[in-house]
Amino acid sequence: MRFFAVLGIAVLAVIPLAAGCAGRRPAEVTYHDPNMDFSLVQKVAVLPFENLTTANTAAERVRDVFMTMMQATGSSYIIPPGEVARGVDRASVARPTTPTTEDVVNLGKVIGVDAVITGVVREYGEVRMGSSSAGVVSVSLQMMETGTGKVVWSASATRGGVDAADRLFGGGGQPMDQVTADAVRDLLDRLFG
Amino acid sequence: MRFAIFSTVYSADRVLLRIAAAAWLCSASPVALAAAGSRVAVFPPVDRTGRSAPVEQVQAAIESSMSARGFAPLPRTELEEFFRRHRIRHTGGISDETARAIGAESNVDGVLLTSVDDWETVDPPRLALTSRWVAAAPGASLTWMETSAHHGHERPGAFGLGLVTSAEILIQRASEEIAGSLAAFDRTSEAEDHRRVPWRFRPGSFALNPDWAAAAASGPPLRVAVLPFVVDAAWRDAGDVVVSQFVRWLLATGEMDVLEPGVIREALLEARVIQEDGLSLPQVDALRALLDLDLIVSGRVTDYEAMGSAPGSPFLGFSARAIDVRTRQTVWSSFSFGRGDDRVGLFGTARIRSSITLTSELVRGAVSKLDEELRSRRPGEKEGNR
Repeated sequence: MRFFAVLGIAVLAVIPLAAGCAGRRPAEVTYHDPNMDFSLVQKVAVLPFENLTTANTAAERVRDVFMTMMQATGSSYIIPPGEVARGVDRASVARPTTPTTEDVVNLGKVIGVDAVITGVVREYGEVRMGSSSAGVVSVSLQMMETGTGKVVWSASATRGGVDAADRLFGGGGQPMDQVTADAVRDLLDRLFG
Repeated sequence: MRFAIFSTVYSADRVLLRIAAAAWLCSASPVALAAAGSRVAVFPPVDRTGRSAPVEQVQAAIESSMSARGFAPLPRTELEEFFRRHRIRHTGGISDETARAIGAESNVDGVLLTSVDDWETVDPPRLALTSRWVAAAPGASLTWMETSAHHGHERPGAFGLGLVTSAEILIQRASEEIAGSLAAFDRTSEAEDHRRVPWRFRPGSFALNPDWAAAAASGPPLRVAVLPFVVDAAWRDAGDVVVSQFVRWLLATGEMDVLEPGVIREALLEARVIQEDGLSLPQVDALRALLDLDLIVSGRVTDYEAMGSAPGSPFLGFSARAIDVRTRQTVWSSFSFGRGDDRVGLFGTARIRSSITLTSELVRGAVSKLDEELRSRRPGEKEGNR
């Protein structure tokens, strides 16, 4: 009987500890232009993302996953990346990762899209905590409609990292592609949700 | 009007040609494609490993295994003389012109092109070979493709009796499998195998244009080109390995006329296509004009690790997209990733130790999903057949 009482106390002590270790991410903010009808966005160009990480190809990787997953939602058509690069060249966009309002309007005319999406990869790679390590991704996206060049949607997402289970049992976390897909799924849910 | 009439006649003509080609492909027995007694030119394998794989030894082992199954490999001196005469240095693919020339001058029925995709001599040894049979005739048609990938610890067995510590054994085993598979090639059984894909290899994300799929399912076989993939991974040849597997599994559907990569390479050089960030639409038009294509597949390898974080746990991530050359639109896109130790069973069963096997399974999962979708839209296709 005494054994079960001790066990019960131990379990009760571990639960809040584990929850504390896992932590809760602060609510990520999403902006939707209330005057924008998103059902009118039929063709979208995803511009190259800005890379603020030390991983050289992080921006290309996240952009690629985002394009494929957005196409899979079936809500809008995503222009092939090679055609986007050609459009950027033809519209003489000086900084495709941070286009000006005029650049966005020009791109819309040159490649015939309703909106362009830009992004910033803020974190990409492995984080270490004690003996555990795991992949983490942090991305911010913006959608601008090409009629006026206005931002109509923006959101950010962070996924991955070392959680309580990894710390308790020494797990290695999810691979980067899985973490990236989770972050992108979250962003798409908030775009179309 | 004239254009419209011309267009209609041209389309009908091409449809008839396609139907005739498909009928020939379906009716031609495997014996007609690669039979015992066939004369074959075994090209020197391409080393994609970057670790100085023993390509001559592999070539000799394949020639020996082919001879044992009744094939007649072209003598090495004759092959070298042909290479010298035509100034051929690249053996990773074969152009239409070379296929025609080797058939006419050396009197061979086909060419066996091989790549060494994985190679390690230190225990545990690893080896992966991918071979394909290309007809030594105008068109350089690709009819068979196979991969044999082995890892020294893939089947340890009781008390470690199944462990392989010598790479020589793997060379022998892989070349026997390649020759055996070619000798036993049967298009229909391969199409059946292709449909049984474990759930864990299914794509993480998949998009298909329903209008295109409906038209493709009821039309003649698609003429497909798989272009080089952009590579973000540290190993630059990972793109070629993934492309090979796409060619292999698209061919295995039995519903697509997949172009020999050597023919595509020639066209890319001729059209001066440099894909910095994928294909642009004018490049799509140029390739269509040169190769008379229906579909262009390209993509990106986002992650590739042969060993993985834990020994023997490779991981891979890639995306693929296909552009319909007529509508100039992306009609299929897919994103896959996986690890060798995903969903491993008791005692490590179902663990995949070879990165090439993992690549093959993930690509097969992506192509299989496309094939399933097309078959489900095919008139007269029953649910039970899938």
